[in-house]
Amino acid sequence: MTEPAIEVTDVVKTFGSVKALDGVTFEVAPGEVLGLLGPNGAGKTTIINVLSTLMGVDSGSARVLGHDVATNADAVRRAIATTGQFAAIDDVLTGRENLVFFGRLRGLTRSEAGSRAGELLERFSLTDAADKAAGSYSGGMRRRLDLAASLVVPTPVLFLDEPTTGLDPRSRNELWGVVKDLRAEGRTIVLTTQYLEEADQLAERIIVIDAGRVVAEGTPDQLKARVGGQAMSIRPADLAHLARTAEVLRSWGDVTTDDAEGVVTLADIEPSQVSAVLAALDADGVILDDMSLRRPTLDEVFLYLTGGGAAPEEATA
Amino acid sequence: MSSPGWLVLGERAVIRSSRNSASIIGAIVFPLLFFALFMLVMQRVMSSRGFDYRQQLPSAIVIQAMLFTAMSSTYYVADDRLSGIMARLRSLPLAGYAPLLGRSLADVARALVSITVVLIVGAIVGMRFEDGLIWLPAYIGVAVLFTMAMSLLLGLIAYMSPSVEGAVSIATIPYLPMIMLSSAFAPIEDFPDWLEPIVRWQPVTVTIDTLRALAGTGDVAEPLMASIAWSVGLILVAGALGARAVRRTT
Repeated sequence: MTEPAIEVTDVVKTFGSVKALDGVTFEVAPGEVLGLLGPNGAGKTTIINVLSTLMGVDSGSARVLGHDVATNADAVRRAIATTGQFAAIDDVLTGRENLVFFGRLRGLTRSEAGSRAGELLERFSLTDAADKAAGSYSGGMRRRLDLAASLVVPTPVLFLDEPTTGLDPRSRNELWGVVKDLRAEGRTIVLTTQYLEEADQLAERIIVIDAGRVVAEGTPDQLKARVGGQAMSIRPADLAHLARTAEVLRSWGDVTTDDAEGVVTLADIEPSQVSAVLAALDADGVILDDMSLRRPTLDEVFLYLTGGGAAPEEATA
Repeated sequence: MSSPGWLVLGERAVIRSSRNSASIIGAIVFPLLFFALFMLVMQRVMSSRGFDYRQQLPSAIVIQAMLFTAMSSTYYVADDRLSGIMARLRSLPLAGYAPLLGRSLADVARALVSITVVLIVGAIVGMRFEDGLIWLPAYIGVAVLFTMAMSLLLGLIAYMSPSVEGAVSIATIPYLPMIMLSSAFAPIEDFPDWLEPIVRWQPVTVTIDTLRALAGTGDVAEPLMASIAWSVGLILVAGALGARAVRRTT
């Protein structure tokens, strides 16, 4: 069995009376992309800060490539690069100077750092702005430069803390493309995000964090399956029948009504029961305009797992 | 060959300062303004009491400029801390002392600019190295060592500050008593008796006295030893505390 690239064991971290991490345990295999998914304040950034050697823990341990973050921090620092929620670049220096600066801090010579900076500027479509002060960059350019600064030396482990928060959809797509490339290079990546779509797109495995605890773990498909079977949406032909439709569906499970769309959704239904549901609606005189069955979205999974839905008890156990 | 982290950080700090017109004004215009004003206001009063301002004032202006330099540095340190750059530096395999030492190197560069300007203007109004220019390197060395000490001390304070504004204001507080309660602008004999020992042995006084002795003919050994003791002591203590602060996990 190969040794995990990252090993977090029962980590507890408190700030005053607030438990930011309440016994977090997980592993990341070499070359794996792990998504840490959770709402604001769930503890995602705290985990990244611990793994980046910026924060100590109250109890438990965290190891990167076998090095303990507390006792062998320098070995951990050589193995990692971190891109934070806010672009940590120098606004006074140009884009190129920033990359040369971080490259030299990583031990490159001036000329090595210079040619590496040129490559990265090209790869991140920053060549045109390379010699302008980074302070004049747009939000998307700043994030790309920030990520580039984390790649000046190819560290085996990469932490991306909410890399696309606050970006417009186009910049987000560009950044996703870069992360997919990095995944293809075989880097071990831990990515935090509050966007389910992002985790779905980029991560091979997802850990859902809520209030400092791991509430679920699995591939995106496994998590979706965990919520149960399929969701059934019914659109009655007559909007006046919405309430009656909801009433009928309620005998099969949890129901939500979207008045604006004129749709009633039954959260979880076995396909074998579909005909019985339709028969009951027919018997009640509801005429259907549309009916669909679909797997739950990660959004629904997320709400369910983080307490927005029913009974997360078994999930936290 | 790759350069050590503190040197790369020092280069970056010099670039940052040199692109900030405020720090150029601070390094050149401020000292000259003080020089002109003190000459204008105090020179006659002091000369009538046997205190030769033309010879003595430039060394005081040099040290005042060194204090300004270290104070201005607090802005950059606090800004790095709050902008997230310091967090990135802390996750790099660097020595703990590198960030604050790098910053103080930029202060040394700025200090050299101020010293040059003040000494040129000083020479114009009549300051002389009475025992020859052979003492000039020592003069510059003592001033630079003092700058590093103040820079590391104020850098440490700035690093611990919760905001940029807080860092800059806190750094300003020790400045006034340190420069006013010293031999910078008035003879030590003019201070109340109970204050005199403090005034005589505090770092600003002993360093200004050293510079004056190096430029003049007075006894240099005593103030020089005291100045170096202060500067080296502060460099070691503030440097070690700064390195520890940078490497402390929260």
